[in-house]
Amino acid sequence: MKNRGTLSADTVPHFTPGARLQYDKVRAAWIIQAPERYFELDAVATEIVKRIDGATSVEVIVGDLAALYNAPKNRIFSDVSAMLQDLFDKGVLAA
Amino acid sequence: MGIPPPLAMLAELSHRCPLKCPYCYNPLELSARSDELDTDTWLRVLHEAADLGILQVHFSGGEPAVRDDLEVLVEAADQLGIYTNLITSALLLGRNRIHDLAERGLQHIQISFQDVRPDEADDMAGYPGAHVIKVAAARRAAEVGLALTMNVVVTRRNIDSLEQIIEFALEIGARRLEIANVQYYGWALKNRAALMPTRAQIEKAMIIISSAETRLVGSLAIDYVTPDYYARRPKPCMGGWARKFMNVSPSGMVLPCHAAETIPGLEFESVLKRPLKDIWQQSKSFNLFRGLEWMVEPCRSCDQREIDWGGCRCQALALTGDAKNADPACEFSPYHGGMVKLAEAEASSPAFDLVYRGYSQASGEARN
Repeated sequence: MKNRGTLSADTVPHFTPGARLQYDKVRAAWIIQAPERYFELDAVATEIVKRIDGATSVEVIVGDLAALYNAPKNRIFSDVSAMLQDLFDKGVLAA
Repeated sequence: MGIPPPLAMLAELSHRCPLKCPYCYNPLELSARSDELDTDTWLRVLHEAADLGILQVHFSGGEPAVRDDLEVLVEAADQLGIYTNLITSALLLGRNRIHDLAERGLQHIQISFQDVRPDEADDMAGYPGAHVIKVAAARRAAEVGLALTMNVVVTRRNIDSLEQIIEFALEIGARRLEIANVQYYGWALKNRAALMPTRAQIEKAMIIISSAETRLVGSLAIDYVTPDYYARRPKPCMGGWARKFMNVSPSGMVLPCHAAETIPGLEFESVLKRPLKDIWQQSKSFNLFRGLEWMVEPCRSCDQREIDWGGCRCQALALTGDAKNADPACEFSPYHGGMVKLAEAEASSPAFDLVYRGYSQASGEARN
């Protein structure tokens, strides 16, 4: 459970080996590919995941998206952290 | 609405393999080297696969690394944007070859282990010394940054080592562990009495797995392939016939699943004669069990029909005589009770001798 409960504003997420974001032209969608599975992302999830580069913190991602969607940071933070926690639990992301 | 594109392709580059596992999912009639597709044909198939919408290619076999064009094919698939997996015994992958494959864009490697006890593992593989070679390859794969899956087929002989298997997966750097109960067709069907676990073993295994899944969230994903013979509901085999998946055999036959050739009366088409897209959309064998129209009772009116898609067609055929019947793993199948009794009887049988896979035995059997 070393990845659980550790997500905070300072967390700097990165993709685990074998996981990546890519655009699928056949389905016209952004997807995460990982060993033996893939996840199709909606527009908001795509904006979050595109900012994961192993150098950008959750805080910076949240600030960026708050500006993009003109929404309060605390609401964006709760959406972003719920989604990232799910990807941590799936083993697609680590910090 | 057209037919949705497939997600994944199993590219069986060769049936040749240094190992002789008695539960191998290859057909009893193995393809000879002289029947294998050449490099240019595989390159064309990969192009067609990418255009069709296939997201992941699993290079498999037999042992895919018996072919020296594996690197070229991995690189081509990667450049087409396809996610590449290698399903391997790891027996033919030296340090440099693993590094080279990673450099050329390989994303994920799945290495089969027969056990965590070296002698038992080598005995099941029919290859003395195989286990230590696999361990070295797995460590090397993790070292060069490949995603690593450890695959273990569980049987009556090794399922009691499950806790050690999980520890071992963590120790060699795997982030995914596939624990697969045997699918009993082909070679495995011949060896069923010697491989079938007992109900008590399965129940203990479920407890160990469910506790490990919770404990290891985020660090080790465990994919458990359930034991059909002790199940109440069938698996959604292949995610449903011709819904997500296609298999290209070493000689170029395009199959809805790797065991589909066991179903008599089906005519399969070859990549040498027809484009992949036409086969996926129009071929009779793909359309035969696609969707719901083909179903008979109890599947036809069942509220689970779009969840499990009636289970496995090959298992329905092998155990009921008709591929259209519900997979007898389902408790609603009239054949279910017989299947359970058979498993319990075989699990308590003293059968111990294994029939190892191989070319000579295959042709011998075919003459029976």
